[in-house]
Amino acid sequence: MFVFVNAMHGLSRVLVWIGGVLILGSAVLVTVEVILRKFFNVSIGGADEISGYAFAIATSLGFAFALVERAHIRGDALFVVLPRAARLALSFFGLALLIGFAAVIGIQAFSLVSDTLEFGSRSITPLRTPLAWPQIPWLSGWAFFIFCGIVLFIGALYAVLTGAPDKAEKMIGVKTLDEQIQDETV
Amino acid sequence: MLAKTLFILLGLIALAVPVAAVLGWLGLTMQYLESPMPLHRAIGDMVWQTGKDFLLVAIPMFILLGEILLRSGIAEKMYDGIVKWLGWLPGGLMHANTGSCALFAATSGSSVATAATIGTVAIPQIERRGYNERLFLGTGAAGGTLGILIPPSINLILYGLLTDTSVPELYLAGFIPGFLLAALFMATVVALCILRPGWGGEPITVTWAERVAALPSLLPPIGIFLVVVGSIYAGLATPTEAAALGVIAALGLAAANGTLTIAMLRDAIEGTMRTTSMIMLIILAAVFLNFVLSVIGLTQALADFVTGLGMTPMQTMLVIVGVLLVIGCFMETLSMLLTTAPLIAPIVFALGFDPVWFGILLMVLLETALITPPIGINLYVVQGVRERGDLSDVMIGAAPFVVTMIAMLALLLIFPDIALWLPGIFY
Repeated sequence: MFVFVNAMHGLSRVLVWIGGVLILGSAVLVTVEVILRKFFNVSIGGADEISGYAFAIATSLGFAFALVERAHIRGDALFVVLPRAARLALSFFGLALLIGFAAVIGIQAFSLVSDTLEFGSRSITPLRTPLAWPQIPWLSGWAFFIFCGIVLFIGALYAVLTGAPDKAEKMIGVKTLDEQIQDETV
Repeated sequence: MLAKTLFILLGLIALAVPVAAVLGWLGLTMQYLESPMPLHRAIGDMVWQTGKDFLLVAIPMFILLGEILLRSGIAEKMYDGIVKWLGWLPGGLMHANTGSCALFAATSGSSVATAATIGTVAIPQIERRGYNERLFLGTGAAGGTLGILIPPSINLILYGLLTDTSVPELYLAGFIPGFLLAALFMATVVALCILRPGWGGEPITVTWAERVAALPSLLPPIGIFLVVVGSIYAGLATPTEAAALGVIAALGLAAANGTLTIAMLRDAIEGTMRTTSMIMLIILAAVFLNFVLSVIGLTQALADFVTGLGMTPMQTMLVIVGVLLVIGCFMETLSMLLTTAPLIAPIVFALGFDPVWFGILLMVLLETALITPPIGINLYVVQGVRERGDLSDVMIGAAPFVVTMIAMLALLLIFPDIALWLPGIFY
């Protein structure tokens, strides 16, 4: 079970690198566009549109990573004073709601992409991008996010049932301050 | 309807449900209870349209820019340089804390990263030079909040998105209040150190030659600031394009500094994407909630309720400021911005206040929220970097700066031109 959770963590990290490369690529593309426009009075056109797609894809690919890294913000004012059993129960509850909401989005996003495919929709811009190209990886990011949430839920449940609540807290609990600062600094 | 909304909102937050899920489920529940139409069917399209919005592309860019400066060691060098220039003031290094936070804020947007970086470099100096520990910690926590107000601020972009206000105009409006607030923080330190000379630590003596020698370490942040902000006002770039230019410039600086490595980039990317995805999930949920609340008429009902109270606009504004100060004690800033802006901004605009001005006022309120106990992220961050003593030290040390921020709010209320004068020249 835990091997599976770790593999998922690894995969989510790879997706984040892909997302990061998309963002870096967008930065380069937009910079080139600005310089060409200003100094040579030409435009490659569509840099804003393409980087918008790159951004949407990168973000959706990053949701799963943010989840396994426990980066999704939770209000922990009351949480921290509760005993561990209650904290764990709330963590399961919070995770279920997060994944449930992602599933609502996922289903609607799926029907959006189905429509795109059915009608062969293109963007109403000079590029006339076939919208399926950016939307399919974007939808995959949401799907992977939901999948990761389910795996994490089952993994943490398994940890609790096999008498390893520590492990469960590390998977779905709130990050301690030390862990948070570790992330923010070098 | 209003009571139900608040009950669900506060209940789910208290239960430590992730903020994105709180906003999302609040939207879904209110739609189920109050709307005859299945509004959630629009969510797929809404999430796609918002998710690829070019304005929001600025968010990962600005975060990446900050990450690169941080992880390439440029931010630390900058601190040493600022010590040389501001260290002579009564309170010594404490001014360097504020000054570097302001300068770092002017290049990126993350308060937590600012407070953590400056804290790591500065805190070992407390004992070495005999500062009043509490006040010193307070300058770190308070200085770190400046990132919200001084452009390029991510929070101002979000406010612009939610209220349909021009981001370049908001950026212009943020300058004077941002640097004024930094100056007020420094004035607070000077005043306290004159009253209690023991707090100021051992004076630092620096020669002019050393100051000049330190200049190169200040150039990178100033250069980035000029690239980013200058390109917007020279009419060269939109905020997002300026952010992209900033990323490329930061990569160039890291390369010049000899710290542009694959490992550094990988860390910067992971940090950037972790924060971006977290923020975007909340934004997507907030946009959906915003839509539901306006369709079911809650926004209008709230505005009617407030105008029906028969208070003058200024009295209403004072009530709003008071309520937000209290909310800020308990809520984390991003969630606070995304839940209050859609609800309160329409009321404020209906009363005839300027959207740009209110954006700036709201940012100062958010800054206050970062250092007011019991929930003030920057207090925790500074305490976390310090690794000893008690959290109450940081809270007490930050208290004078809360007073300074309230004074700043009063100044903005009495002299709205502090925020509006600069954009007035350009627009």
